[in-house]
Amino acid sequence: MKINDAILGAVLIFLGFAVLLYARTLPDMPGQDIGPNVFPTVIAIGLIVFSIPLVVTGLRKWPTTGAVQFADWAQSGRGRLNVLITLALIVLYIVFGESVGFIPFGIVIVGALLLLQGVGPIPSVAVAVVVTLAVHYAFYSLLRVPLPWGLLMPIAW
Amino acid sequence: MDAILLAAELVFRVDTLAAIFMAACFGLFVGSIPGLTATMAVALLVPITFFMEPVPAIGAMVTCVAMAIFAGDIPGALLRIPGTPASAAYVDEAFRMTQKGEAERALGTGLVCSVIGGLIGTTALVLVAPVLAEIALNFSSFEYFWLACLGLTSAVFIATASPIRGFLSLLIGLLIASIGLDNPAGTPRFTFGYAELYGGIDFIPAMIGMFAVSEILRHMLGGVKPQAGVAAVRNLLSGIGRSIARYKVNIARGSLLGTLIGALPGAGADIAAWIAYALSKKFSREPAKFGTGHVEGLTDASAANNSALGGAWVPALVFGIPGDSVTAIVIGVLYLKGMNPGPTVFLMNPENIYAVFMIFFAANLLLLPLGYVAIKSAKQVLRVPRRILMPVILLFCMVGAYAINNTVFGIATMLALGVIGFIMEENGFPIAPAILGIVLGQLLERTFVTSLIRSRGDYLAFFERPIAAGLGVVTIAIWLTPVFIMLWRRHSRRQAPGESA
Amino acid sequence: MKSSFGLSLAAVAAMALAGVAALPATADAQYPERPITLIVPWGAGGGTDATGRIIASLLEEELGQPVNVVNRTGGSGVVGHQAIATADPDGYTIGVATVEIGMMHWQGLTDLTHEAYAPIALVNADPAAIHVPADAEYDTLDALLEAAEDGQLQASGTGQGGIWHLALAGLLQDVGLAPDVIQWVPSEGAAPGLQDLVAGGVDLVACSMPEARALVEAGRVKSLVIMSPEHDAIFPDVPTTEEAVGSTWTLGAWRGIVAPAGTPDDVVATLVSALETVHQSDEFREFMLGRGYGLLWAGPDEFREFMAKSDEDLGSVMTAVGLAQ
Repeated sequence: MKINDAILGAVLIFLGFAVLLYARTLPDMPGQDIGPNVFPTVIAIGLIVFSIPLVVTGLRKWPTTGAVQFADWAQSGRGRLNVLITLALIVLYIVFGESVGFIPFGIVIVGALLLLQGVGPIPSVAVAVVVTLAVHYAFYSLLRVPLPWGLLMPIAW
Repeated sequence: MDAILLAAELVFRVDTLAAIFMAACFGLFVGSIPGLTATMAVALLVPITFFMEPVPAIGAMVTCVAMAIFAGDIPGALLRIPGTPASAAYVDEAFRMTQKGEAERALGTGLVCSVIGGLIGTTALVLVAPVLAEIALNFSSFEYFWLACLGLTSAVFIATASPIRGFLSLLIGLLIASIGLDNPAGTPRFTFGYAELYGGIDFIPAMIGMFAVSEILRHMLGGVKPQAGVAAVRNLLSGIGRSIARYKVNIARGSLLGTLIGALPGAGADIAAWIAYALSKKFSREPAKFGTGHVEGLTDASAANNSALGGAWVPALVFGIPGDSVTAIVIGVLYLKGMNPGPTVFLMNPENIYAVFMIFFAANLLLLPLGYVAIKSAKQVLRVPRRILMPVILLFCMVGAYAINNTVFGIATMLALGVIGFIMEENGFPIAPAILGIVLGQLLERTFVTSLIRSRGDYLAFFERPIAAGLGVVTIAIWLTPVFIMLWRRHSRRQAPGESA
Repeated sequence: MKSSFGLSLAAVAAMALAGVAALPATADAQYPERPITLIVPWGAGGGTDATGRIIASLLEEELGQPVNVVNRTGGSGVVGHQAIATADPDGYTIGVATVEIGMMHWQGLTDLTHEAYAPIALVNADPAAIHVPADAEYDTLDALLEAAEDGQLQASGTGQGGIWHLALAGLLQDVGLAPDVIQWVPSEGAAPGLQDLVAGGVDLVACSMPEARALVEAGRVKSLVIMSPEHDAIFPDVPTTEEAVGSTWTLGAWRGIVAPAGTPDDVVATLVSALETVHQSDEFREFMLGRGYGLLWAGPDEFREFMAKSDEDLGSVMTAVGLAQ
């Protein structure tokens, strides 16, 4: 997914100006001359200055490349859908992971990604269950990472 | 002499050796899982060491860390997921070798360089700890500021092809590092009232996101790279001997650099590995091969990050000043075991400290066989088809990002930076400078601000102390070199037609 | 292809949920019946982390359930303190609260105060002290304060507005000087501050005695005053503020164990009695004294009053020295 340099440059320049404006709202440090706004301001100026050449080269190439180019291997709509589902699953885990619990949700994530790639349903479920339980054992029991139990709370071990 | 014999008796006992061996396996395991750090491994050992004798307790920690630092290279080389920021410096180099079917050679070289680096760092610790500690104590915020600049410069100017994209990547990293409350003023920045953001963006989930998640997304999009051959190199150690002999200068250089930078309490293995990699490229006879899977790129930096480990113990043992969070934990255990850090540690009960030194050597030697076994077994991962491997890696990434602070905020960080990293890589922005920006951003800002406060706003103070002046001149010279080269080329181009006319 | 995927996905989800539904609901048993999480708002390696970990491992023996230490770091302690306060008040998440809980709301960082917690016990307190390089020309606090009057001295030891910054500013104000007559150079903690002191970067460092101990024992640093009514156990020669300059100013860092407000009383009672046993154990005393940490014990009611008073004191000092919002 090659985005034209002019667009990337413009986004970074916009980001730079946003940071500049934000930095002006930061308070001074009591009793000191140099405040918390200095560092972000310097970064913002750098972002703006170094993005200008990006915009220039991007505009020069625009007639041949257009706004966005996909590599040969990234042409299929199927692949793009797979990426969206992957991202959606992670977002759902962030939102509902604590209440659903690691084991059920982990099985769903691994199982779903395997199915998306055309692995058969039975091997998918088997791999998902085994891997999730193994990861849970290694991290929860051995390394004491408090993975959430969620729905499985009544049988927590 | 008596003390040394007594020390040997303390080390070569069943319980000590068993503790070391178990800690070694534990360290290898933890270090090779992305998201679990050497710090976490040592912190988990703390309650266990309460009930152990001093020598096995310290020995277990020393061994665990040495193993974990090397093990960070394994997922880096095989899956392009660096286990530690220190191994992020050469992760692309190692992964390119894996793609060429040279995974064993990459990891084998890394292993041998780590062992040699570790041994050199330990030797420095044993022989010249007090001298090194004196030097380290002279580093104030001015020197650290230039050191941070030097590390960042290495990532941008030397290790990437397009300086402008490299610099933008670095700025993105620095911007991410400025999120949160941990700045010199203690003012919340870019937090928008969200308490989780007060803590800033941790570099571990960031690293997992930018390297691993972006790789998973590319795979899901259909960008399946040709499966690397696994058994292209039959014997792990054949050919490595030759590499080592050929690049012995690199290894020595990396080890010395690592020991020196490791001994500075404010610096450490990350900066050491980056500067070592940059130096390696600068002085190489074949700099064009760097970044394409060139074994020379692994030698300096692998040696540097393991030798930095020995270095980090120098200020910890001599003055009780921790170089990183690992030595901070160890200092606590030293007090608990009555081996109070300070010059007196060498006078009172010297057998204990000699025993610790012996364990340092033993741990580094033990790394050779155990690391060999670890590489052999980890390599099997490459046999698993990628469509099965990738979902499993995603699960590991999510748990690793969660484990750093035990909150889903880590997973959110991982996801956000994974998407940013994916877009950056697709468009030719190198990821490494952004990671280094996140790691070093706070150090850079803190040392800059405290230096200016200290000099009451006088910028010349950055050049008033001798070491600071030296580091500053080198850094600025590196910044100006591309400008001079450009001017020179333009100048000679303008002259050339004039001469021919 | 697509529909078979959807079906299989549903199958996976159904299997996972069926497994849950089939489970019998267990009746409430005696607390604690599963692992407890102890949140430490500071990073691994620091004094609070070490204290938290020794308490956790001893509490584990006492309660018969694992007690897992979880570091929730960053934001000068705001993140971790917030996490303890917002956890379920069921006794399965407790945490270490530190002196900063009485400081951050005055700085306008959060609305969180000590009232968000059910106090269990106060376990430790370390008074502030002032350290100068061993070769400094002043041997007493009086001489240091005299040298400070022309505003040329700089100090370090923690971040801007941190507890040790406050300790120094409060002391200066108490002896009739401007609280900012000694300029504060923010550092990441006591260790980098001390290193700066020895490197010649700053003139003095304010931090606790255990933090400076290694350098004092190495003969690099001398301590001029301890801001406490009593002498330090390991360094009894360091004068108190009363002895040094006749001031009653005292300030220190403290650590205590708290649960989220609303935790049932019987659960708190179980934790208090377990913690009391831990606090009196030889292992704990040996550990704390070995590192030079001050031991202190206050049960729930006393601890609540202590936190309220600490909050009030800190607030008035912070307002006076211009660090409050």
